Amino acid sequence: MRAYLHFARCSFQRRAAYRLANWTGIAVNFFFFLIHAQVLVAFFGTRTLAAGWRPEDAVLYFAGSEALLMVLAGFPDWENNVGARIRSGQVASDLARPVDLFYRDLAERFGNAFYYLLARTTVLYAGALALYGIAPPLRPELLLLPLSLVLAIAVSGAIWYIAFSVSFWTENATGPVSAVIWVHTVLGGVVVPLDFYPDALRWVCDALPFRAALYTPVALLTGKLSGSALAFGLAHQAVWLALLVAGARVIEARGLRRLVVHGG
Amino acid sequence: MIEVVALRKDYRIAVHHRGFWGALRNLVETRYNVVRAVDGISFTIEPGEFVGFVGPNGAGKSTTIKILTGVLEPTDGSVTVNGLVPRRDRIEHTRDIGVVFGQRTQLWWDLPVTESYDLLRHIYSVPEAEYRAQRERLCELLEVGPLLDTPVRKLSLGQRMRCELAAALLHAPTMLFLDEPTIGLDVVAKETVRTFLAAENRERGTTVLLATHDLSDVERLCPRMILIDRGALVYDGPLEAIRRRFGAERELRVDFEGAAPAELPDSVEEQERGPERLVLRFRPGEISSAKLIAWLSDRQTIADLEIHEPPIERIVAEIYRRGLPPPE
Repeated sequence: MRAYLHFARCSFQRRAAYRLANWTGIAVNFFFFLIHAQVLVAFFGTRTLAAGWRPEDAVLYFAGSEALLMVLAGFPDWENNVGARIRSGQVASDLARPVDLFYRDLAERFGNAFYYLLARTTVLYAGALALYGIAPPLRPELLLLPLSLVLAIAVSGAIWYIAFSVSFWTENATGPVSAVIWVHTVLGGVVVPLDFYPDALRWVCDALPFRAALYTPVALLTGKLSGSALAFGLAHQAVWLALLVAGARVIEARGLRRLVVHGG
Repeated sequence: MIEVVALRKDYRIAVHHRGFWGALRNLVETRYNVVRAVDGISFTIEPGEFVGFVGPNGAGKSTTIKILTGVLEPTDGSVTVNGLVPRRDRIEHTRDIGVVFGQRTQLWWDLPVTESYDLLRHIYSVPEAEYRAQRERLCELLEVGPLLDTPVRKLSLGQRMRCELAAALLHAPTMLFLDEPTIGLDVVAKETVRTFLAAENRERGTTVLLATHDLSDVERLCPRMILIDRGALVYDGPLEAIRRRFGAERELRVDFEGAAPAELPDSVEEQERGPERLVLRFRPGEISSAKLIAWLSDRQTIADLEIHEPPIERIVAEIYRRGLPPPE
């Protein structure tokens, strides 16, 4: 276990080695927050309520989603992932050590997430809310946020691990991973909060794992989840985490059997 | 102890159709070729041995090392290392081995070397005191102490390789697998690495399997050499014996005090000819050095001469090119 904590720590430090990347990242996240927020504000127009949301709920949601986007790995880590390690042959070095490939990857996701939580989330969330003069909703449900975040980070880690595991078969996983990015973005609630979708599409979202990786913790942070919806959200996260971990293990075991490491 | 019996590894490689229409066909149809990387090799390595694992590029060295270290699954045959099956018992097996792949790194690229070492300490659960002592010892022998706070990406290749070796040995494994650890290193760095490896094997009894295509590594370090080519075992034995067995040819360079003799005995092969110089190759079994020199001095006064055994590189290159000669 301590080894995996150290993997998380190294991953945290690796992120911290690039300060400029963090500041440009904050700028990009803030830019997308403004676009999303302004589009939704325009959509509301003179209306005060849509799908049970007020305009300030929408601003709050996008402040939360952009602030947590990197923590929850809304987009995958293109440089450090199992696919890149298979492609470069680095996986040989990983497997020659008494380390589990999947849990090591997951530990790195947590290291990254913790870094982004400190270096990005706070700055972005505070900045975005200050700009629109909105106070963050402080409710008792927020006590469940750490749990939901941990589940979401693990779910998103498992989703990307499975997507990049395509490299065991095709070496280059860019195509499949790009497809997952699009599905994840739309069904995870990055582009539009799921509450705005028609019922049929919301059922689809509830059945698939993507909302567990983004929508649930963001909606919890921004005060849009409580009662049975919150209970469903957390249970949905836990169930999907168990399924994805099991799936990742099966895929990894099959992939390792046919692993090829080229060039020395 | 390492026991390899009839080891075979096949790779299935996708073959793409060529050209524009071929590219379209590739979308719906994939053909595969089976490439046999390792073809039924068997050998045993006893604890404490230092074995050179030699072969040209693509001979199957790296594949074999990766099977022995639990990275790849063999297609057929059996491999046990200290009673464990490397792939099946990967976690347990890798606790007691050290591995360096010369073309990969086990160090974290963006972080100072010492961070990777700390991580390895936790991976192998090395107690703090043991870890400190071992790290100090390795840092001194491999001269990496001053590099510990440098990010890995800023190290030169030689520096990095020394750091990699230290990393592979921090948990004091009883067995070390090295795949081309001296590739691309300058003479000084190579010598540091070689001296270190020789000492590890001699003083701590570490079993070493060194895959390389640099035969000077083997000449310097390995009493035993396993030679493979196109996946098959070609030779397994002492390095000197290969010279005796396959390197029967000698080279004679002679400078004369006048014109070099025009004719030569039948069994002698002319390599080079100058007005007053000859470079000849001969087999002592067919004509002895003394007889050949006497034959030449009968025809012209000899000013100077040298006899050379062929360098090991040439012997091995010959074996790669022509296969095994029949035993003498």
